[in-house]
Amino acid sequence: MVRPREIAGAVLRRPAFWPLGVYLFLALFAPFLTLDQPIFCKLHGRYLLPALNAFLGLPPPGPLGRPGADAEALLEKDPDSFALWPPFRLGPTRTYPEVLAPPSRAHPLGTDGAGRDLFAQVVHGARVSLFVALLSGLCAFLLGVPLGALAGSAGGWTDALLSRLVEVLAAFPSFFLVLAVMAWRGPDVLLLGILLGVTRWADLFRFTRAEFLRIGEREYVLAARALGMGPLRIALAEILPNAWGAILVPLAFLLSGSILLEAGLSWIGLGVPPTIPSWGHMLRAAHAGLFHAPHLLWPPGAALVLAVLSWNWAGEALRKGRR
Amino acid sequence: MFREILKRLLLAFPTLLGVTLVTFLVIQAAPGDPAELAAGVPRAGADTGRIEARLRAFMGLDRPPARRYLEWLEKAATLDFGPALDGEPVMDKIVRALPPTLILGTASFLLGLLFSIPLGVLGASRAGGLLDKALSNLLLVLYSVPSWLAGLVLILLFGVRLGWFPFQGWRSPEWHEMTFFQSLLDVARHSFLILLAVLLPGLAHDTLFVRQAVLEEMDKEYVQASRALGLPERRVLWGHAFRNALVPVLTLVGVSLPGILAGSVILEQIFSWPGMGRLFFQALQGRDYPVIMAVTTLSAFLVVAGNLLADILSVLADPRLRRHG
Amino acid sequence: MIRRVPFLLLTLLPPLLWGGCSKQEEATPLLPLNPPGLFAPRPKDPSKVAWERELVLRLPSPPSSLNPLFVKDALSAAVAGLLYDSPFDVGPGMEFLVNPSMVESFRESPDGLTFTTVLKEGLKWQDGAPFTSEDFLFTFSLLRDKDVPVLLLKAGLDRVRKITAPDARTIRVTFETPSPGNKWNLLLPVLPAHVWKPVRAGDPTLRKSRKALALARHPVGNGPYRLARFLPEEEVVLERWEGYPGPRPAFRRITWKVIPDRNAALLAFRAGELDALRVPHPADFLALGRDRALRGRAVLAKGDTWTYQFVAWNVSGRNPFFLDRRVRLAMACSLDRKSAVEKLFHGLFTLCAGPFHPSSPAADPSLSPIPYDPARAERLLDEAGWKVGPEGWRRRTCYFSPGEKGGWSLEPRPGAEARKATFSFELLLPAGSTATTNLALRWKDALARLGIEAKILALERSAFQMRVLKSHAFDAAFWAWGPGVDPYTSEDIFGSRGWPEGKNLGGFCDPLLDSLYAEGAAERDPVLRMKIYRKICRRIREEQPYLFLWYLPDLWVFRPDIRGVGFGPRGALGFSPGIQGWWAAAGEGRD
Repeated sequence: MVRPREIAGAVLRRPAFWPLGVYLFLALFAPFLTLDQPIFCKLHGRYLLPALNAFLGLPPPGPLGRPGADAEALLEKDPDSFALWPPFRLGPTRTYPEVLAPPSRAHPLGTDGAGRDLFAQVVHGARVSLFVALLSGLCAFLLGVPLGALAGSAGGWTDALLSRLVEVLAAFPSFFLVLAVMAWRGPDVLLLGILLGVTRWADLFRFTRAEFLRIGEREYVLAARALGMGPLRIALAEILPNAWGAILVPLAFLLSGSILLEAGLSWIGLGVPPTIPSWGHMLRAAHAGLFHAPHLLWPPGAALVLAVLSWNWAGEALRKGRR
Repeated sequence: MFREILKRLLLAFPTLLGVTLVTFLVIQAAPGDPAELAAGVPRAGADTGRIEARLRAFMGLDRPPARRYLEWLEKAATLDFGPALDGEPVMDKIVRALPPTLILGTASFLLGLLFSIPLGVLGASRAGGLLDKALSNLLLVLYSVPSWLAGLVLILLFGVRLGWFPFQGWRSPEWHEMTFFQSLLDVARHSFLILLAVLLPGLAHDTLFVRQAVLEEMDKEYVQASRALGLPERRVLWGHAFRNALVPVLTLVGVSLPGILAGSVILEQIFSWPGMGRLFFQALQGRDYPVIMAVTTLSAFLVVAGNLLADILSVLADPRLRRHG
Repeated sequence: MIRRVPFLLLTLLPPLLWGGCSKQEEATPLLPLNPPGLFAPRPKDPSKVAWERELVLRLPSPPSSLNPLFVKDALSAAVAGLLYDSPFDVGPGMEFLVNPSMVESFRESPDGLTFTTVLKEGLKWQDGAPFTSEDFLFTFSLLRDKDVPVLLLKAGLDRVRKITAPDARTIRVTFETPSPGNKWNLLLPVLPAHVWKPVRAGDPTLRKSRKALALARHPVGNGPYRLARFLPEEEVVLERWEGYPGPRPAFRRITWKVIPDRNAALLAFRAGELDALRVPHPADFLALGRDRALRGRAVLAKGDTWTYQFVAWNVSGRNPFFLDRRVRLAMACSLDRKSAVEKLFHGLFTLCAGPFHPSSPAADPSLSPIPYDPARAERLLDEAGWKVGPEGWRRRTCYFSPGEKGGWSLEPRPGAEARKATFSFELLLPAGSTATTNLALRWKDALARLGIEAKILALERSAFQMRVLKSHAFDAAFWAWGPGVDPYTSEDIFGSRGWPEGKNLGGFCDPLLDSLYAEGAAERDPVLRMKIYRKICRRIREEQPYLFLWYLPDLWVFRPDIRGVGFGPRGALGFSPGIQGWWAAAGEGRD
């Protein structure tokens, strides 16, 4: 039985996981890196944590949550206030007066066609893509792992039926299905995440099933069975803890694939709504402006590649670690 | 094993049937009436209601969906996918989209195999060395770049900035005036960028896969035994390790088969490549259900065929598998 | 691992340096804009015209059809228009034109009911068969045939009481009632009866049979050009037809290349592969204009069209927000259109005050676009009862009655319950439209400062079209209308009769406006008619059924030797003569 601390130790020591760590850190803590509101402040006598609200996806607290509120202006006007700002005071969805501005002190990477800051969009876009990826991973996990475990441990008719079902599902051109449903329902973050998970759990199923078949033959499992342990308990206590490593491999690649698909679908306009920053949107704007504003291509392109790469590196390392 | 294959073949039919049924249901649930879409934005003085009624009758949409599905199924069994909603036979549209798709698909498939196998084996043989590390990392980076992003970058660098390659369409309009070799060169020039965009991530994936498969074989005892017996390294590598790694590699071949026809929707949009991906996307926008169903059925068929092919090839390559029938 | 980082940098750096350098073109001056020579009409002296010149143009998507009956969009219509000539057309000033190469005489009876057309002698189709009044009658019968899925069907055709061909050259059409629209219903393409009658016998739809499909690839027309080659997805090639009775077609060949990707089209022009290109995006237009590679090899052209872009307000009761006129006016004050035109569209769009372009006789020249005034917007919103709530968003008590005939209202109604509505509406726009999305995002922030929440919803194009045109399931939506041939056509947009089946998108029904339109339709005196339409303009301005944004320009780039271009209310194409008026100057060469 592998203990969590051992896993953590193993992870931190392997350089292959560091880019992933950086990516996860940036993506999760984007509001603490760049936001048009402070991390922590005292305004009108109240203590507020706007960055935390942004982190949780909530509207800003108190007077900062009023529509059209400008945090800097409000703080300036209140003599009794103080604020701890993130390193960059740029909001991802706020439109600034300068449109298609080149990189400058105010905007490190410049602004896009709507006047939104590119740097903030890149950083916050990581958050969105991570959210979609994790959601898809969760859905795929909830479908693939239990069913794979069932098929792997039960065997016989259950296994045959489930395996055939998965084959049929895998034959279905799932990208087309996702495309069709997103086209007809409109861009939606939750729907996208769920769809990406529900259409791509076949690999998780296969790996889980293979692991359960393999480990099921091991002596300790047979011993447990002989001792009269119920199949569910065997699965949870004996097999699953040893199968984690194998299951994480397809999961990592599933997540990296989801990031790519989200970007691609947002590029078409059928992914995430346009008010939410997404690398796909940025790339679409870059494509539209390829002739007169080609510099729009690099920030989201590099970000996308690096994000996917960090997942792939981690996946590769996990796979190597298994040997 | 042949019993397995027979079972698979029998399973193919309900699979395809299921695919067509689900596709049809999804289309029916879609908002947007193809007749209204075909009528388009009404022009001045236009009698939209009657235009749409006529279009609906023309497209056969005034019949109940169940009947339409069954009729479509009947004809599809004979590979007659019927007329698209604009009147042109679906087969004509597919046949027109086929050459650009096949060019891209077959070229990337063959080139992929051609390069990924030697590169993968090379990587496995030098595993752990500097070359292998650099190669693996480069491949991993390439694998992380989606084909359409690679396409955008290639267009910007080689199309817009340098102007070395055309980046739209698959041949120049003057192609009919060219000699055979000139037109070959013309198609090659048009295909270069999009092929590169497709190949880079695909090749990376395949090479890594092959390398992995061979590496796993190299770990096994028989390899050390062969080495101990004094066999030259090359023989060990190609004659034994690779031969045994063939099964997963052939699985890869089979699984890549549907990719020949899949056609990346986004990539084809970016390059204006008149392939199946673009055909599908346009049909989706126009709710052209005969085309949508034909394309999804064909692609599902290829997946099934590809899996079957992979199994057959695996059995041929590794006689041990035959016994598990 | 540490070794990987510099490796990554090495791969990313060169593209960053290279691709990022895009700003140096700001300093170079623009190519000549609208040089007078571009518009010069064809000279009488034939030696000045380069008759052997080929013209290469771009189609953004394959033509929906080459048969004018089944044509959907303006460009396909332009292509079909070169293949088929018809006796009547629309002129550059949106006037009714009689085609002098086909029509000998055209008479309207004093009671406005009967129109008699006498065709010229010796008219032929491209296959040599004679063009007679039978062809006109045949085409007309196709339009009335419910089996033929014609896209051109006009409601006005119902008003035709009788259509006869007293002899091979005369066509007589009689309408039920007099109307300014009667003439316009004669504007039909004509198909050759001798070619299509046999097809119709076996295929009433004219689109399904092999024969029909073959004819679609090899049409028989009577226009200045005949089809030489048609490869859907790739190109349409037209060749000069020497037998054309009108002025000799100026180009030996016209090729339309299908180039769906915008950037590829810009590059094709820059590389010399295209002779003329429509450049709808101002940023690209200016980028081409500043391109050093095009110095001396191209000229810019800009014409103002009467096509206007707007935001439609749904006032049918689906939401309570835009029911009050003052709110609609406030919304117009909330968007800084002038700044948007300057920043997002580089000053190339013209602000719009109403549906009739200032150069149209129906427009009231005293009306100017509503200026940006957030203070006034706030006052109007407060007046209309939308007060800022404790959270900062505006709220008002409105009344909602459920059910089919129900909906929102601002005044109490029997069966309606009072609800506190927060001003939060959905703004609909088509997905993938970068310019509109940018505008919407900026506007959203401006509206937030006023206490109004605008939720931007970008839908896939077809779904968007359906929701706006058919189901009217929107609160506010971006849309654009092109000009009709006559102001009376706007009744379908602003009058009650256009709701819900017609072009009235938001359910705006105003009895005063309807009566004005009825007056205008009945008025025979042209000066008095225009006075009525000016009143309509003012009424629309007061009521603000739409937030009028701007008129779109038609932006083109041409090779320097192209002449004879003209811009009408629909742009460079969409009227007579359109491309038929273009010619190339002899002795100047292509580049």
